[in-house]
Amino acid sequence: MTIEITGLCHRYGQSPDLAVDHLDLEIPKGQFYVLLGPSGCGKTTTMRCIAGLETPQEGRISVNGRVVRDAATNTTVPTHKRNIGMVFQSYAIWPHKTVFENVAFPMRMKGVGSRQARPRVIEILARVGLEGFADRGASMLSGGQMQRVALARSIAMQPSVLLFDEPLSNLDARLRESLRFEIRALQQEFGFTAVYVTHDQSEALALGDEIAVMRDGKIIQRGAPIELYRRPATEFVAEFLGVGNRFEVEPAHSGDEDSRVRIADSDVELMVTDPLPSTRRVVACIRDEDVIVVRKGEPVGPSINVLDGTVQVASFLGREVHYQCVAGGLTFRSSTPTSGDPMGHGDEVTIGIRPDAVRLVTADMPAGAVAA
Amino acid sequence: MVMTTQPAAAEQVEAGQEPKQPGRPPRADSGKGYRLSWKSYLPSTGMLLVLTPLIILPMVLIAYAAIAVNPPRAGQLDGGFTWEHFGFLFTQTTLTATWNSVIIGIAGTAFAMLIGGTLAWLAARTDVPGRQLIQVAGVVPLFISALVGALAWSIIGSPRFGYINLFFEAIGLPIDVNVYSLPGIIFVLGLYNAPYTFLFSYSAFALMNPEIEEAASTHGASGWKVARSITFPLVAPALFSSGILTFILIMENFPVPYVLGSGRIPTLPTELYSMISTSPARPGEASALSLILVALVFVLVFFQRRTLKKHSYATVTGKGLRPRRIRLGAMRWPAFAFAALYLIFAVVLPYFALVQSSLRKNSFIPDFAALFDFSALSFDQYASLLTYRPFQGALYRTFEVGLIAAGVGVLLSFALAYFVHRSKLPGRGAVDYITNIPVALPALVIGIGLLWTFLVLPLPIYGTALALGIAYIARFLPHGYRGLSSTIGQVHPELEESARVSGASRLRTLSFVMLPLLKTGLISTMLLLFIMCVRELSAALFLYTADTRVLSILVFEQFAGGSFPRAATISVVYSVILLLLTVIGWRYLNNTDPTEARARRPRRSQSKSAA
Repeated sequence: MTIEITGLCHRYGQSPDLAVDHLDLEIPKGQFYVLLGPSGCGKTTTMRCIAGLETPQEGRISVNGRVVRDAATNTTVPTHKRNIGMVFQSYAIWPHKTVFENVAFPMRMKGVGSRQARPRVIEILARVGLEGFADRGASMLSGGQMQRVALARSIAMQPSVLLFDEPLSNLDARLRESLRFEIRALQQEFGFTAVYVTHDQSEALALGDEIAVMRDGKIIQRGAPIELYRRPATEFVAEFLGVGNRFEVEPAHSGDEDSRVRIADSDVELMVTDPLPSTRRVVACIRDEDVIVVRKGEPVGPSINVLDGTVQVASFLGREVHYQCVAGGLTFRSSTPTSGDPMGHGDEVTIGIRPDAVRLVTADMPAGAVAA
Repeated sequence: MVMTTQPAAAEQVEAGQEPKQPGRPPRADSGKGYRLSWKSYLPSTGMLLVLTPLIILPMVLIAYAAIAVNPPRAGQLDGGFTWEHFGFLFTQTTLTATWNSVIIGIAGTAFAMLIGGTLAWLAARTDVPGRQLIQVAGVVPLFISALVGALAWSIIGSPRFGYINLFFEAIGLPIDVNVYSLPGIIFVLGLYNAPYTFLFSYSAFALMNPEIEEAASTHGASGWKVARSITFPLVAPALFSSGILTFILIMENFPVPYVLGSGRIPTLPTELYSMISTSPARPGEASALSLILVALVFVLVFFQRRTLKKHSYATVTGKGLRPRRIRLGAMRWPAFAFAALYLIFAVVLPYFALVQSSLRKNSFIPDFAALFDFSALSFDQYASLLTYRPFQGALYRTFEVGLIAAGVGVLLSFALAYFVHRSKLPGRGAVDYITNIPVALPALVIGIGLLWTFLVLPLPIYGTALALGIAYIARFLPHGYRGLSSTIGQVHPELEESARVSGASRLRTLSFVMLPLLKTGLISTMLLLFIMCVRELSAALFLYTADTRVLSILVFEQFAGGSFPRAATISVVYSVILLLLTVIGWRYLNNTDPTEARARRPRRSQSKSAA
């Protein structure tokens, strides 16, 4: 294991809530690990504890077998002696220095002379697409270029772990996507262990070998991206991974072949294949792309769960159309691949949902938030 | 090296916004679970040790002296206690002085705000011609000593033979203006405190997000209606709070009522001065009065802070947005004239008067035309100044004390600001609070407190230039501290954190990241402190000796001793020095934003200096 965290607790000042709440985490060598969650969930705090920028009140952190923080023995290795690289949200490029000085700094701190550092810095800069930028002033760069410098700086120090604190959130969408690919490629090429904090589900899914979804300082679910995508453990995870249809349900019929649940406060029943969780409140989650919307009367395929409804809002996005439909007093969101002319407001439609597309999960959000 | 961690504004906000789940019981485990090593208390202890003789001890000793039978002296702190020093409170003089101070404070503030607020609004939000000139006009009088202003106006506005009266006589107006009066004091104090209200309200006007006003326009409000119903209500809290600060500054001002009141118009500061300086000295009563003044100002500062906290609308931000400008139309040139008139009254006319009286062979001016009779002028006063020993000494002392105070002050301010804003060590709150206390201390009170401190401490400080330096540092510590706090705030914490992560120690981080980025801010703060020290009179008034006169003291002494032409001559030299400092520093004083400073700097030369 490269990183081992046990019983980590951290609280800011006099805050009544723990920012990180008895967190355990193990990250194997060479893995790309993503911490995903909304703001305030403790993901950044966890990362800052690893870097030594926060001193957690409880728990133990070890990196590459070396204990860097142990509250029980009050051991703390200072940040600058941890050899952990970090890419910051604000890039944190020193504006009064050149690109070369920025990238060479961690090597200089290890006692490498400016001249000896130069070839390696030039090489890494070329690798991140900044050939010929070495002697430019860092404050003249664009956001994307600054983040490349930050990447180069972190790679140059050959860290045991590289931390990413929402590194793409200040960039525009197009740049975000291309840098995302590059980060993944660099990680595979250099083989470093990465911890990546984000609140963007698509970033998490695209980058992670493993994802941990966090909330209120705890990890709610961890697993490979495809596992989380297919089987969110709770309603919160489902919502955070962008599942647009979430309805509180109660059991209607359970049999070996056909189990049915009824959506609360409605007459709509759904055929499901998932076993019913034993919790008091259960939420049915259906991904937008699993809600198939066709013009009324047209075949919806092997959906089995079929409802009649009307289009409330249609929004054409090119490759696909997003619909918001009302059926049986409920609002369904759908993302349908474009084929033929999109339907519009007021059109009568048929909605189809496959039983195995319905995930039954534990409700873990306030009741009012479900329909939102 | 003490192991520390750093606050990250972003994450603190994040933690603060954590959704609270209703009904969840408070957690049993406490955040105090982790032991702070004794080392983490070292920085705050060190800083409190420095702040003790500067701020804490003077306050304690004033409180002590107010109720002690004998004034504090080293090894003589046991003379018993009494309430009799407070007896003076019920004398007619004190009541009159209090009444005068309140009247001067209120009316002076109103006048200062009228000028400062109008200028700020004109410069920030209208299409008045010569906006840059107005910005200069709004700030420049700040660098004129109130003492010099009062001296100058005592010439311009004296009864019968003041310049204004001579002018009125020349054009046949039967009006006699007398600046040696309550309205005169109010006028001069308002004039020279207007820059404070200008600075406060200018930023409030200039930083307001224009979209808020645009929203009102698109919803059908006319230009003036927008100003009345959106702009002014939004800046009102800032104006109110600057009003309170201005009130404090005016009420505690000593030189103006001293010069223009000439003993007939007592105020609380002039009373305080005469209690110490006229024999028999009444140190107990002076301490008691100081205590009451401080209590009064603390109440005001409390209200000022609460106003800011309660009503600081988040909308009054948005740096870099272009503010909407109101079209003044026909009022453009009258508005410009208003600004020009202010500059004439606050700067041009006073300097003219001082230069006149420093050059006149005979101080009697029979009529207006005589002002322009060049045969009556000579440089005799200046020539005699060259051989006047106290002047040479004072010139030297001014720079000596000013440079020491500004240099030490800026280092101390930086250490305090960095500790409070960029560390997570215990004791930050106490350090922040104590550093800000001098804002609420009238300059004369600081002087008295330090006088007791020097008498009690077994160190030979009293009578040295160091005593004045300490007084200046104590007086202007909040200025330096606040200035550097905001400069430090402009450097993103992640810039430091990335250096730490890259393997740099805390000290290396300071020298690699913070100091280069803050260079402009540090220089400008030092310059500002230096100018304020050179300008200051009141804080040094109880601490100087014949060996340690500075220029402001010398001017004051010459005036008090009755040699007006010499006082005027020294004032001119003194003002020229202040003016030069201001001009030299203008570029720095106007530009404390590190991001702007670095954009201007050439890049290439940098790469070599790192090695």
